[in-house]
Amino acid sequence: MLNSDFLPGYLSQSENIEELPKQTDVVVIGGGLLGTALSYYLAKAGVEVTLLERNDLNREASGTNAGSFHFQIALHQLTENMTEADDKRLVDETKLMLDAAKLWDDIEKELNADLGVHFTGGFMVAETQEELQVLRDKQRIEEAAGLETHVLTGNEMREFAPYMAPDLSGIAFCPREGHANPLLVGPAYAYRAHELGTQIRTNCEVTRIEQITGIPGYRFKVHTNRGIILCNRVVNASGAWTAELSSQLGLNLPMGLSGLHVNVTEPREFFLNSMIQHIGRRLTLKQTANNTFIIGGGWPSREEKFPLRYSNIWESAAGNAAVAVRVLPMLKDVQLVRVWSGVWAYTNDFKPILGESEKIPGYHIAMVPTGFTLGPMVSRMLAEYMTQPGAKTCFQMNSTLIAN
Amino acid sequence: VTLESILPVLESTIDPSVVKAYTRCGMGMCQGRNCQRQISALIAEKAKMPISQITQATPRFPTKPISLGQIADSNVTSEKYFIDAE
Repeated sequence: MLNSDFLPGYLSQSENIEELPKQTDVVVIGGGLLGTALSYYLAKAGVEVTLLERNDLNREASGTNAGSFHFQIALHQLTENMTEADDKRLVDETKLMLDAAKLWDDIEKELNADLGVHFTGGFMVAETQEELQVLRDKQRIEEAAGLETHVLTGNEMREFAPYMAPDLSGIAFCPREGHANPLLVGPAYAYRAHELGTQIRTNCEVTRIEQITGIPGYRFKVHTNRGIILCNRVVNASGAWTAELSSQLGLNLPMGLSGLHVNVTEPREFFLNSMIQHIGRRLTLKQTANNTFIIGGGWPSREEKFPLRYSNIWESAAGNAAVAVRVLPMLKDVQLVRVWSGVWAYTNDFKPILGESEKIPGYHIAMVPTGFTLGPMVSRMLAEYMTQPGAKTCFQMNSTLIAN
Repeated sequence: VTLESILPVLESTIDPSVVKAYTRCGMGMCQGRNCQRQISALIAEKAKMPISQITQATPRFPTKPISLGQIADSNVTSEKYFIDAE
């Protein structure tokens, strides 16, 4: 098995100095997790792929998230008054998570690489009685979907997780959750895609996608800062910039962007094996393989125009720290050494936008708000759709793409 | 972080942020205050560029480590987990 040492130097400068291919079957735009995974699954099915990335691979959301597998039902999936229809929706969404879990089970074998995949279990904590009730409600839904979770309270809770604040009203534990190293997964997909013949060009920015007629077998002319490439199919996997690029073609995607804040601490002796989330407040928290704590959970940072990095807001560091210390009191004396920030793209209903445009045949979109957990799986689904005639157009796709 | 682990990364990038992401250099207690200039120099030498043209990894606070207890402020609240898409 390859360890992660292979990753840094794998994409040689020479390939990047090479010109763009003149034509290809599929152009994948975006060298993040979805773009690299999709290139791999397409190349594995024998498809000719050229992957274009305007910066370096894996630099935006794919490499700036915390690498957690979020399988439990989370705060953003819940609505104020839950109906039976909401329950059904959540069962479906949880089943999707289980499919993703199965992919993560096998990914290191699939890519023959050490990607830091660990199934450590994950917590969801509750502070109030109302929140505890939500944990119980969600447990019922997860059970219906086949995802194992347990709700613990009182002494049982304190015994199971003695490091947590003893006065929490309860905790849910999902043994299936875990994490991988987000700095390695996308690059590993790219490495394997490259081995299978995918042409990868970084520092190659798509400036215009032109629909063409008159050249049999080619439906698009993709203009870049490094020249023009003809192709039959395009996949827009440009993450936060998916809507911007699609609007050129007259497609209007219901997407928004937000910056997310992350706190990083000094290392401490390892004790926290499982990630911690909060069912009522913004918190994700875990201890990494480097023994540092990574603390986030949806606190905002300031949006900036590419290529600037999103800038951090002090209030997010302070509010995030308060929730973290409340749940895990030992953090009070742990030093914050760094913060970071990454872009997060979401859709109006938090569902993926995945599939082929009806308005522009050959133009595909791969975009998913819970990108790290679901990215590899939705990429594989889209690759199946693109390589197997008659394959189902992807599960509960966001309805807007069909309208487009 | 050793020089040996940094050199292969310089084959594929001139961006110190990429070097940081792959090698963790600049992620320790000093947060690059000691090693950043050496990294810039290595990149400049490898790419045969003047060091002044090498970008810096994005600066992030805090300037010096500070305990979470000291910065925690429970008055900062957030009603909603995520901003509405519409």
